[in-house]
Amino acid sequence: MSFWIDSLGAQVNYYNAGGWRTRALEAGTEGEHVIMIGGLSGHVEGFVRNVLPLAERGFQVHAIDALGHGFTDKPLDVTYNAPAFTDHLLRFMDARGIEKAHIVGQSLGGWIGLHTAQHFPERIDKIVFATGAGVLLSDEASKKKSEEVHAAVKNVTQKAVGAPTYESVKARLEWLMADPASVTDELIKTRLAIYLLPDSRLAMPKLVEEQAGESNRKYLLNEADLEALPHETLVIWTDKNPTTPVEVGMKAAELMPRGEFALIENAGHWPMFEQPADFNRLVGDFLSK
Amino acid sequence: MARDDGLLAPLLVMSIWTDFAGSSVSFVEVAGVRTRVVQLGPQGGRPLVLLHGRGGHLETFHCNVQELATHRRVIIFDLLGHGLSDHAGSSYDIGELRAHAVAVIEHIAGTDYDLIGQSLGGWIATLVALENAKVRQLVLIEPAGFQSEGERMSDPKVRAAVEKGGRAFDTPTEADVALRFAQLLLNKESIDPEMVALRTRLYVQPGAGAVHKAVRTADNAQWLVTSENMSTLSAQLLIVRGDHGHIPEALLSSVAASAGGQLTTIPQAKQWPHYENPVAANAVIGDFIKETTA
Repeated sequence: MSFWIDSLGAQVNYYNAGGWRTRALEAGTEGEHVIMIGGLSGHVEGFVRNVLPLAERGFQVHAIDALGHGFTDKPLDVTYNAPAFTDHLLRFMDARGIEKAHIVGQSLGGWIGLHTAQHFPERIDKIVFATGAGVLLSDEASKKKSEEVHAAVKNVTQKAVGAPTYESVKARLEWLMADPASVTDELIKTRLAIYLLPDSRLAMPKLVEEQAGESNRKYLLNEADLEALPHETLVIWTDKNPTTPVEVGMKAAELMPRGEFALIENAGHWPMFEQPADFNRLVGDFLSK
Repeated sequence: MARDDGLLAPLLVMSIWTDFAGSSVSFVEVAGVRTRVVQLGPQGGRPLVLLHGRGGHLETFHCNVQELATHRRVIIFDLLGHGLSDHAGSSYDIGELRAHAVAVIEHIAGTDYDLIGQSLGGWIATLVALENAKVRQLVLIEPAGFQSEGERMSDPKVRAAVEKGGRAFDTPTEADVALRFAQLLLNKESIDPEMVALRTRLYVQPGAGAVHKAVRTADNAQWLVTSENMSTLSAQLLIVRGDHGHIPEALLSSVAASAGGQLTTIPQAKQWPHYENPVAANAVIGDFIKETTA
């Protein structure tokens, strides 16, 4: 299959989200709103296997390119820390007339979901936190691991965005997956085209530096933050996640008063892309119940 | 076609998604008909509307959209009953297809626009341009509408192609769709598996076969375009043909002459020259739509 055929019947729309042009892959005309957001340097194509299946479960689904990502605007006058991504998410919701939405966030997108829920709890309904970033547990081993993960993500992403080539983008994508064969030529080509956009060339070094940098660590959610989060949250992890270990996901689900945990096997950092049937069933059931 | 040979791969692998990168894909409801529309290019620019052919869909132009959008605001949509647009017609004759097309164009772009039409889309584009003097440029790719059905069917090549093509609508398996698609192309090896998979998905939709049959059997004799009609065309005209196309070169040459237009032949191509040889077709069409608006 191909991205075009996978998304046949969905729409690709561009919105003026409070001054920031924002790309959304959308499907579904009735039901509650579900907003899907990907990871650092990601784009809506990561959700190409999820948008229509979740719309078929009775939701209005909007996968968006986060600020600085994909075909969304990449302003140079913001600091790419958690509050900027939350600001953008709320501007998108306002532009689209969405009062409250479920968030399905993967990696950075999960962090955006939690950070937004923390500060604007009334705008967020349920949260799916998939191989998420942004959580900092109290024990020393977890703290050390968190810093290592930040450094590793920064390193591997900088390599891919610094001088994007077919090979460097392929390497970054293969690092994400449990099975390197999940990285299709079309995915590489899509991401390379995005990385080579003139505004990506200008903004991505800043984006990676700031998002995965020191100044963003103060927005990590600690154990007390997780214990205070009232939202129903499904934490999805995988058996082959290349970033944060599964124990962190399980502990986060335990700490959240209304947290649940599910494991998807044979997947790396992109369970929604590598195991879409499992992912869509888990997410669809969780949001429907 | 999965390839894993490094730097050449991105050049060789086709992908409709990447060809439409940056485009919006939306559904607009015009006079009760839900219509799929793709738009790309500068929002302020003079709109260039692309009309596909019989049995076609907007992806017909996936090899052309990026190049054309460097010059113009490009608008492509699925004709009534085609692609993912509603099967809301009854006769599916040229008059009905044209009425839907004009409604969609005016809804999105107003009345100031230029036109590119391929095959049946070329016929519709010609009729629209003959009526709307604000259309300044008309590009026809292997256009229908200048030959009566009797003339067309007197060519055994055409008759055989039509007969084979019909199977794609009666029993739309990938093999049948590939066979019909091959009729349009000179080089059968250039068939793109993604286009075949896509067309099969579109053709197996409930009702799609009935629409295609209606389009094929509609009596369109009253809308045939003559040289006299063409002599009244106010738009500048470019006709693009494939060097192995089915429409006689002499006919297209005389149509072009009657409107003071030009005829260009794309080498190594049959009925889809814009698709089979996009480099050559994009260059010719790009020059035409660029020069005359400068």
